[in-house]
Amino acid sequence: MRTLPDGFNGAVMAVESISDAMAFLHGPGGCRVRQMVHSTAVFPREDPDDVRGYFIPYFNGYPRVPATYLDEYDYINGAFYKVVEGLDVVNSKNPELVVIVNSPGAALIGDNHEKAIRDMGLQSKVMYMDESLVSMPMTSCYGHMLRAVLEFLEPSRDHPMEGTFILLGMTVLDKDWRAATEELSGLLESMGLKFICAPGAGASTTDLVESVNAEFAVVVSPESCEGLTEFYSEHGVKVIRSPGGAPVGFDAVETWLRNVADITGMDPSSALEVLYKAKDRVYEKFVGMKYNALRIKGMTFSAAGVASIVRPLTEWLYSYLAMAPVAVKVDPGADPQEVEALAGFLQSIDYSDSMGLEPKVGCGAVFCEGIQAYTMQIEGSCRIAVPIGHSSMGLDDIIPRPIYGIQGALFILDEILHGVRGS
Amino acid sequence: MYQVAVYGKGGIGKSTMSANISVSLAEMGLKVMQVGCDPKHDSTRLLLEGRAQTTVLDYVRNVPVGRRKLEDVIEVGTSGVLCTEAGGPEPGIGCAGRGILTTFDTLKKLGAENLDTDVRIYDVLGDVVCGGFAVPLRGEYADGIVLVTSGEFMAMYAANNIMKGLSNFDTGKPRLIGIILNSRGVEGEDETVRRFAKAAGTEVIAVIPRHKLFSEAEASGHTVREMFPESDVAAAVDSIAQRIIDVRDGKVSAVIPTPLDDDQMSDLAAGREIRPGCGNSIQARSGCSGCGRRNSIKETNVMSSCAAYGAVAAYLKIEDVAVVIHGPASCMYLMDTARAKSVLELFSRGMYGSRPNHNLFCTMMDDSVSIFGGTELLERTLRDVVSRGYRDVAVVTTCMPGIIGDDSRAVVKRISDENPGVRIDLVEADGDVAGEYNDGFMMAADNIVGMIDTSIEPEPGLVNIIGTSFFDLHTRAHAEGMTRMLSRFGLKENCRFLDETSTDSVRGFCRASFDMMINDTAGCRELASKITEHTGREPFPVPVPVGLYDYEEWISMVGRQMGMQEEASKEIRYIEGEYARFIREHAPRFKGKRIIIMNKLTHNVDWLLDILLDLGADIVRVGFVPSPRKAGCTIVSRHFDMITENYDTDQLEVDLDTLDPDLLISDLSRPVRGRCRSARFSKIGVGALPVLEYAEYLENVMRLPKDEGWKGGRKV
Repeated sequence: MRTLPDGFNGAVMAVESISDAMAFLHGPGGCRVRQMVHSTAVFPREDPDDVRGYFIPYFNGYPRVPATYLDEYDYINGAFYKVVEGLDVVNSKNPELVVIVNSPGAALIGDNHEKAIRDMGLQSKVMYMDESLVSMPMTSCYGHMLRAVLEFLEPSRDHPMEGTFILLGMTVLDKDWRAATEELSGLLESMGLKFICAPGAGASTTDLVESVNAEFAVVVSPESCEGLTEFYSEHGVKVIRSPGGAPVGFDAVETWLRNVADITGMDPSSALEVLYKAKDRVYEKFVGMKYNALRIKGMTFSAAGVASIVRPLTEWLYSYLAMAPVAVKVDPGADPQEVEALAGFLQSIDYSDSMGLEPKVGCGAVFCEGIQAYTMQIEGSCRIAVPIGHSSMGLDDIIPRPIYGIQGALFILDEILHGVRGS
Repeated sequence: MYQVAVYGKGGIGKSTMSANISVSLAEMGLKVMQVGCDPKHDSTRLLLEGRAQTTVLDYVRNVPVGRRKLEDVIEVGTSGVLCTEAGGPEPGIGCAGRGILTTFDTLKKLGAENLDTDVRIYDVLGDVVCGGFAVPLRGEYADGIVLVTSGEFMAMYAANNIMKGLSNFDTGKPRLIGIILNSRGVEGEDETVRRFAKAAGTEVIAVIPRHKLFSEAEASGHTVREMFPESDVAAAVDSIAQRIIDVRDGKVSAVIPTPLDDDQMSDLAAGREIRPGCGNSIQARSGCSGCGRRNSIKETNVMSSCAAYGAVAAYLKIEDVAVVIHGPASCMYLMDTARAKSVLELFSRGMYGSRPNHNLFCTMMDDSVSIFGGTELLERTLRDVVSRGYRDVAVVTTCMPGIIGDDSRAVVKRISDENPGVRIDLVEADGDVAGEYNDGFMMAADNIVGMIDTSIEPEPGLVNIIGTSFFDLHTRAHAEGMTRMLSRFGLKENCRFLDETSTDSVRGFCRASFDMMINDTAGCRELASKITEHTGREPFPVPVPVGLYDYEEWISMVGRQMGMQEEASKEIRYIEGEYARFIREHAPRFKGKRIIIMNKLTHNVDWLLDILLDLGADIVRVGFVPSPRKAGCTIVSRHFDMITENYDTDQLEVDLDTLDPDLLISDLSRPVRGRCRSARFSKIGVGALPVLEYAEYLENVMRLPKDEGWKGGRKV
């Protein structure tokens, strides 16, 4: 069984993706620990010395995702007192926005967050999400939470900025999200567009308010901005979605760049030049190590993950490396267009039987979330394991190894090449 | 839009009243919607000619997200009143209160807020029994509250509780419109209810007489207001509707009630004059000291982990046990990533000794399952796991099944009965309800100990290692050190209880000739005592040693146990020689160095104190930080007089300023920057020699920069 984050995790991390916001977890300590560690790992903000100021209730020594530490008493009697007291403590750290998120258990006791916020006079900076998002798709809840935040912030499109763009559908759970954001925004800026922010990937509350003034909203992965694209459309921002899916693999990156250029009327040549140089470098390397490159052809692979990532990845591995897709599975919350395109592609290459299969024991390479991929590799169930899922593992790379963009394509190729060495 | 919640004791006539009021309001020209919030889902029946409509919760159960439409759960009833019913779980299953929360959430998502209505009536089940049924009291829903009661004490008691609930959801605005007396013919009913209303700071806004018109109308599936519009009853209903409109329009004020306290309720029941109240509900809400309610998180024992995770972690140490987490995907994600991050990375770098398993399953409870109970999912998951060939399965419950009261035990029994030869353990950890990590670990251990086959005879040369944590042995180097120590006496490990083991190994526990604790912690002792209770075997008196002196004691005892005293003496002479040589060579760099040791884990640090003292260091403080996870455990040390108990970071700050240390050895993840050199206090392995390696590490730290250059970097 693959271990995937769900809507609850997604909602917490969506709040934590906002650089000056804080998720306040109404739940037990057990629900907090991993999320506070995860938030700190994927989006570190506090200096080591800052931590000294967090040895106070609700934070307990850790700056991220303060919690009410619900226990049995609270499940029976409610924990309104903790929400009120905790809000005061959390607010003392001066976040620009606090979002109270219920843990799965807390969602059952119905504490009145609205009243707590009002009692504390914090209506202008504290909101709550009391929908139960457990076991819902992580990606759609990520977008859902961001949309709720935007609605709370009530941004106004009062000074539209021509030639500007935001990136949608990036999450802080995406591997090396910051490097990917920098690369993708940089490529579009090289066409002459101006980058404002990436809601959901490091944007601040000020950025979010400003974001509705962008001319374009460029989608990276549609699943992670479900609901958000509609929000921006309603505010007059033109949403650009690539027909090739997320920019994963050289081909999809090219499609993604050309699509933006077509719609914005910009010249993509400078961005494409960067891409072509990377492809040239791969060609040169492959020629230089032809025996390893030859070993890749015909290798089987399994891919499982977000549909808009799995689709272009599958297409690219097939066409660029001549690898055989023997198992292809999309995560819950998949974008229907992506699923249809993926199924159509597999059918067109006579691999339709692979659709819907979990990563297969005995295949050459497995592309999925880290735990499953590495476990299969350790068990000898595959030779190569490439983590493409939401950051369950591999948070300690210094050289950027995102999934998206040109760096992402090089990372994937690196992992495959390293895996076939000596085989 | 104006929203009214109609509350009252079950069976008091709320639904009848609500339906009549809805018709009356509609006949006055308003667009009305009625929302039934009662699991018996008959609120709107009289508006739909006696028909029951599809409830929101049935709809949620049967129709997946994405295919749901608002019109499927809303019907148009008498006088154009829009009707919807929350519904609820079967009796004894799930959580009806949660059902109300889900209904409101679902209606919101389907766009019910955008329906064109002037007034919405929420007809809510009886007493405010939990947060779910109180949802309509929230400010975002109820602008006004109407209570329905009779003169019976329990009906007024329920009404009083609802007022208490209302004060818990105080919006700052007066919202109680008044009390409807739905007469039952109790003697003095009118006066009693009016006394009650007056004492609570409100009034009786209508008296509805007992009348056969109700039964006549209901028998034909209609309201009195619709069938007998000229009747007195209809007139009374109209007066209520008019009152609601007047409150909405600001012509009449609602009130903030003052619910009666227990003494006042006694006065009411006894027919006495009602004494002045103390505003009990308000005090209770803010936490009066006298009623034992909590005011602050400081009154709680904060748990940073949950028992469910402890139980899951315990079972995952047995490679062929399938672990089923009965809960949402979140729990599996949070538990599995915590474990996998360390285990898989260590293994992939060749540092971890054995292959980690991933026999982890989850029932994937979501919101709808929490309403209708999760036992079906548990059953399905268990059948799947058994069909995969697992013969040993462990089910661990998280918060959700615990709160909604799933009968997991019955499911486990059923599947066990159907599958002879399959062992299914159940740990009802219920998230953190059963405690934190250690508690859950021990609950699992209780079950696992039961797997040990006590009929097996011991064989010479085999030893069991007992421990809750095997960090000391989690690197290949440390594991090899352990093997070397044991092999010196011809010993081999039989079972690690609990780590990197299998069900066969656990069952064959008694094959070993003796059992050794990995360390002398409270958890380890507790685990050993469970084993003793089940098997009658006492653990070896000395735990696996760390440091020269413990090692010498251990090796002497093992030598005696195995009849190999000469081998033991030879080993001791060798180790003492190595140790003495090390001290001679390294003491110059330690001599007189002022060292603070801060030990958060309350582990035995005698080995560290021994070598530092032998190296001539000046140990100026040994601080032990209390930990909730180690509550109740005592410090055992040869150097007890050197130890400062209940040490904390504030005291450390003072010490750094006043004791002028050269080195801080601590397990703080972020030691104080720039004040003195700091070294990581970590697991070093077992035996005598790893201590020397650790001392070399400390020696290096004392010669290295106080802080690493990267710390001068900037935030991104």
